[in-house]
Amino acid sequence: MREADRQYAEITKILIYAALVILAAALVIRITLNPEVFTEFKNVISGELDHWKPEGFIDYVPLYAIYFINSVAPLALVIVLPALYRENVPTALLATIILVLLILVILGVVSIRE
Amino acid sequence: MVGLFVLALIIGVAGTIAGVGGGVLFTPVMLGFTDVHPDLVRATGLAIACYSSIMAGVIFFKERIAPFRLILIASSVLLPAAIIGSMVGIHVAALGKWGQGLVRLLLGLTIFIVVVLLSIKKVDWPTSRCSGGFVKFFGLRYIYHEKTLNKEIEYCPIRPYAGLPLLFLVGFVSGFFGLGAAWALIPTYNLVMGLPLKVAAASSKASLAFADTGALWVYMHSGKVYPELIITASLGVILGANMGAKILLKARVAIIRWLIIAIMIFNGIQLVIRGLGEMGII
Repeated sequence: MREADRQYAEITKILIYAALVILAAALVIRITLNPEVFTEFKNVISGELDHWKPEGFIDYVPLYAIYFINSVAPLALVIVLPALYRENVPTALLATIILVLLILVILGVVSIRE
Repeated sequence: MVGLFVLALIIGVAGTIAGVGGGVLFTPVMLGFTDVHPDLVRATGLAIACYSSIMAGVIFFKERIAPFRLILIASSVLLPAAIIGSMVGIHVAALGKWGQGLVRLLLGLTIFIVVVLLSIKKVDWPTSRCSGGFVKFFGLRYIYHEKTLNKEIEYCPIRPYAGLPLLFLVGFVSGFFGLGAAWALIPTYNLVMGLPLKVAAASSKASLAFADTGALWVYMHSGKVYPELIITASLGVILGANMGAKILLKARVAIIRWLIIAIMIFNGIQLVIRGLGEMGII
């Protein structure tokens, strides 16, 4: 049976490389299909834009790609949690607390509302 | 966009060669020399630090140079600290020009601390007894094969009562500024918690995956991310870091390292001046 650290390394390797490819693809898709991106980008560089929200369908493509890469670490932790419980229960309990906190942040329960 | 990618690529190469990491250079350079809003820059800096940390974990956990269980214990402190740091950071920047100036000023001062910590002499093989209650309770006695010595090295963390509060501070700084934190984690792991230098360096690179993931989601939910900025810069820095690792084998590292430190000092001074200017003090 594989140990938790090696299992985590293998899972994150697959997920992070897949996520990076998806990110690059999402960037190309949005640039190609939304010509306003360059104007928007100029506004970001000149400091005129301080926040961003998706407006059309195409805007959600890079957003979901970022959601995916931001979920790589918690996803991998979920998968290795059983192995971690077999190895050392106190550490596994800490990992569970980390996961719960991450899930709360991901769901927006722990966040700033403006 | 091409310009940003090239800049990120250079930062990735330089950060790796200098041993500071791209995530540490990106935020100060962008905040010091561009007009991009501090929240967008810090979210991008966090993304770079987070993704780089995940990639470092792939190698270091597999080779067992970074202790996975210790990283999880560290993350249980780093994560809430980084989340609090990111929330405070967003609130401060929301104070307007004065708040943004304060962020730049504090980051400029932090850069000087980074330079000092980078210059501190580390210990290659600190002596640590693996018989403490903390080590036994969490199963933190590790062994890895050190190729340069061709022998098995046993190691374990000591003084958690001193190390964990320091980690909280590091997590807060990382979340607040959107900064990588190897510069602070290496001395904490090596000099305070007694890990061998190689293990401390590897652990520091793999430590921020969970903490910066949490902090980044806070920025995401606040709408403080711009996709093209995050994607272009992350891909540039990660690609640059890979190139830097290859150049590292051939380059005159000492000269480049001092050059980067000189740039960081200049960047720090510039951030302090700009911050004080925005706050209306000078």
